[in-house]
Amino acid sequence: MKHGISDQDWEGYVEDRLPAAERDRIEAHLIGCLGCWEFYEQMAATTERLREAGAATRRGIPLSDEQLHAGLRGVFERVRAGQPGHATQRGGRIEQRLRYLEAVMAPMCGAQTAANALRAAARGSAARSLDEVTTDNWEPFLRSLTSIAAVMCGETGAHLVWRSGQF
Amino acid sequence: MIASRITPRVVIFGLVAQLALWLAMTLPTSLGLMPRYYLTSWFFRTGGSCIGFALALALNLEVAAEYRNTRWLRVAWLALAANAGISIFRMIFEGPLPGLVLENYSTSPLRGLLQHLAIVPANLALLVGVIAMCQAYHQVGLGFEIERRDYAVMIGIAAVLTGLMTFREGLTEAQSPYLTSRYLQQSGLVLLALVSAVSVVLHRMAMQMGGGRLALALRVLTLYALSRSVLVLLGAVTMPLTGPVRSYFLVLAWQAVAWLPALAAAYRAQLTVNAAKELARLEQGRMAQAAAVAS
Repeated sequence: MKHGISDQDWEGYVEDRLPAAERDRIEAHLIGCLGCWEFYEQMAATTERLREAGAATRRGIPLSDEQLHAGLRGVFERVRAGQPGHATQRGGRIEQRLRYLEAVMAPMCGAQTAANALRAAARGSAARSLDEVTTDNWEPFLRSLTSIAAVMCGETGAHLVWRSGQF
Repeated sequence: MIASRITPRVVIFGLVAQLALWLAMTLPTSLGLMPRYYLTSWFFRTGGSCIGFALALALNLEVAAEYRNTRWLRVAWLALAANAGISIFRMIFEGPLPGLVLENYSTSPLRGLLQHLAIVPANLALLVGVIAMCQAYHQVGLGFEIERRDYAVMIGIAAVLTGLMTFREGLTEAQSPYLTSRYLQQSGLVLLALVSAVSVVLHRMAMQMGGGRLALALRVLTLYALSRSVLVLLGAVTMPLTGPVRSYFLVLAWQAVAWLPALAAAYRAQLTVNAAKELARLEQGRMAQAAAVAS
């Protein structure tokens, strides 16, 4: 904490989530403190850049209804299969990317084919099963999935799967 | 890419436009409202179907180029392209064009001979196409399975073919003076029945895919194979009937069938077009993200 303003206060101020009294206090301080003013300007600029990058990423990965459906189906399948906490064990990042790949393939070759392709790719790679896919064996898994996609979706579709699977 | 312009919607528009214009040209004649433009309507019918097959040829070649490293599917789409290409000749032989050179061509048995000289290789190419496709999807090992009822449908198709061969007097070339014509027509029918039987497997695979553009393409391809068998059967069975309803139905149905290969290819080609768009969007998003982080 510097000049009585905590990190949470700064975050709340930049995000415009502070109560009026707290906001007035920080603004009153900013009028007279150049150091805090520069710190605020840097923080605001960084937040804005992050917001723009987030928007660009979202524009780059638009989900169609079919993709959303495939993603949701995958979630429900896991709930039904009763795998609590598995996502956190091997990292939500892998889980998220698997769902995304399934969502990318579904409009091309069908939701069922996409789900089967992920399982077959895992079986055919070092991971041996979809549950065992981790960041360490991700690349051979992705190669295996891309070769399946080359048959089911053609070379352009396979290239899309390959690029979508890269972190 | 031709596929970005020749979308399924464009193909369906072409099909509907051909049927509507042909009806507009023929129906008033049947009702006695205008004189008969027999040749014009035939040229129109042949031309429309040729356009349908030409689109299928171009799209199939484009799809085949997508499978440079997948041998079976490359063979499959090239075979479908061959089917479409040969079918153009079939349409020309069926139409009035050779009649401009050959006297009495429309009533001559030569017409049937030429027609079946094109039908047999076209059906053979279609058979190679659907078998290669089934083989490719089976090999990938995604658990596509044939069900009992599929075998029942295949047996049904075999039974229908047997019936058609037994009562072959109903076939158009049964009385042809050319022996080759009679054999060619029967060979064409055997091939068509085989195509229909294999396309049942293709349809089952499409059902097991759970949606997607590829499944749509396979379904239309199945429809193409099965509807041709059904129309041949209907034509043979209803031959004694001479009413306008039969003629109109068969002529319209055969014209519609000519656009189905183009529709199947357009659905498959659209998969590539959409994938290319998604890929471009993905790369653009990543570049924007990298630029934002770098600044």
